[in-house]
Amino acid sequence: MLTLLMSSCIISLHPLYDTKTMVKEIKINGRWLDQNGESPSEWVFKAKHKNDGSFTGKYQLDHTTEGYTYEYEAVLLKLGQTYYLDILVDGPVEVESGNDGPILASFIPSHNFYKIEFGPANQMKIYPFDGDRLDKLVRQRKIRIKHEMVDGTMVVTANTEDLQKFLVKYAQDKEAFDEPLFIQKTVD
Amino acid sequence: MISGRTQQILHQIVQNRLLQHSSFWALSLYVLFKIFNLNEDQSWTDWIYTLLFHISLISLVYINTIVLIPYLLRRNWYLLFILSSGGLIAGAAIFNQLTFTTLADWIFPGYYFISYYEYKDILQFMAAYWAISTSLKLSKSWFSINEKEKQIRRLEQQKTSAELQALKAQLNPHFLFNSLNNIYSLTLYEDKQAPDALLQLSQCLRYVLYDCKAPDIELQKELTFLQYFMDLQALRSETNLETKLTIQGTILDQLVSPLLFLPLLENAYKHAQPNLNGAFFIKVDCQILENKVVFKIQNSIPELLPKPKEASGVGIENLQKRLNLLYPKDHVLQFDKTATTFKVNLEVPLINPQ
Repeated sequence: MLTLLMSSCIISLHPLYDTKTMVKEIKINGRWLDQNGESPSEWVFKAKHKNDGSFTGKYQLDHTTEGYTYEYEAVLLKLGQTYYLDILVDGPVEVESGNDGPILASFIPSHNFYKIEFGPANQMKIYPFDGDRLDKLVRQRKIRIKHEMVDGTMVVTANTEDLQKFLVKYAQDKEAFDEPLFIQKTVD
Repeated sequence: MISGRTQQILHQIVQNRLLQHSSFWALSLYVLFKIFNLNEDQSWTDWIYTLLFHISLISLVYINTIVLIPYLLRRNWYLLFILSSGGLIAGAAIFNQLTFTTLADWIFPGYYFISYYEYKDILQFMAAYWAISTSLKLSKSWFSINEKEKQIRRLEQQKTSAELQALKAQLNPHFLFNSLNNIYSLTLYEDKQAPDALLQLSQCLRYVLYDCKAPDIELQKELTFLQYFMDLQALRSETNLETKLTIQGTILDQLVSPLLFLPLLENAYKHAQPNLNGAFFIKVDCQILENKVVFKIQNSIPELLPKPKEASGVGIENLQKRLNLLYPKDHVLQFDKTATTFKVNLEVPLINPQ
């Protein structure tokens, strides 16, 4: 599942969220467990607050697997009726031997996007984009979005507004996504 | 230098409506493609995007040029035209957005196109194309009016030229029949003057048939022709008719419209009769000034016969028409009748070639 998330995302220089689309209520704060994989992992979302105590709309995401914890910044946003998760990867990280490494890594600071669905009983489904399909469409030139190819990886350089328009259209196609990752909330 | 034929072909190409529109849209496609081009490796999708963008632009331009300008602007319904144009621009901008949210999916299934411009940006695109199409349409109308005015002027010139030719042509039969009758009379009596008279008639005919095709002729030739004409007329005239042609001034290479004086001379021969004093004459006085020629002709008339003050007849009427066409504000034609003499004064400009 880790590999799935790593390889099946849209890497973008610009965030998917803006002040209009960012979900301002604290919705995903807490500890979430993924027990589907061979090695269960833990997702902890901690809401970030301003000095005045108000919610910034951003979360600190601590992802722990095999005893190693990696930190990210995550933002929950809503485009139309659909939730998305924007996870910011700061850049390359050092991985100790014997460790599979972080769930997300990038050679440059970048934003990674996922569709989110909230299920019953505090369940969250994380849908990664089908990277192979996306690559194929880009190579077939059926997607028109500003991007750069870096070492065979498409890095989207479109601005936030264009990204939102593109994802709204692209997400209408169910084939755009891989199988979801289920995580279960255990502690608020 | 471009030959006339080549120029005509080029003119036809430039005037070709299909070519004009194709060129405009080809240029538009190229310019907008350059603006819209996102990634160097995505030229194909950028072309499709540019084409899709043009659907609303083309709609706007042709609604403006086929409906709004002809039916509103040309009828001077300015306020309605401006309001309608505003509506058209707004409608086209909405259509542009719909093109990418809906129409593009239908035309190009499997492609994921989005509109990369805000509504206000698209409004600016639409306003620019509205302004360009309006300007081009109005410019084209101006050129069209200009061309039609030129055509009208050309037709008027052709009409004037045709009228002048027709008026000149009406002079010829009079002269020809009169002269032939005179020479016929000479030959009947085997008069020795007949060959010379025939030669003079020949030269007169050459002058009338060939030289007079030009719009202007040397004054010298015109006066020589008059002299021949008088000589030919002398053959048949009564022996006591006194004729005299006097020329004052210097004849150089001045030009004058041909056959202007002949109708007056014919008129004089037609009406000259001995007057109460017993005088029977035709006197021609031609005064050559710097920029004009003053042609005075007088003939004796009997007092008792009722004569109109103004000369009449086809020849004089034609002369009057020709003068009005040639020198509408720059000629003098006066008639004067006394108890014994009928006088005509004609003044026309001379052309002095440099």
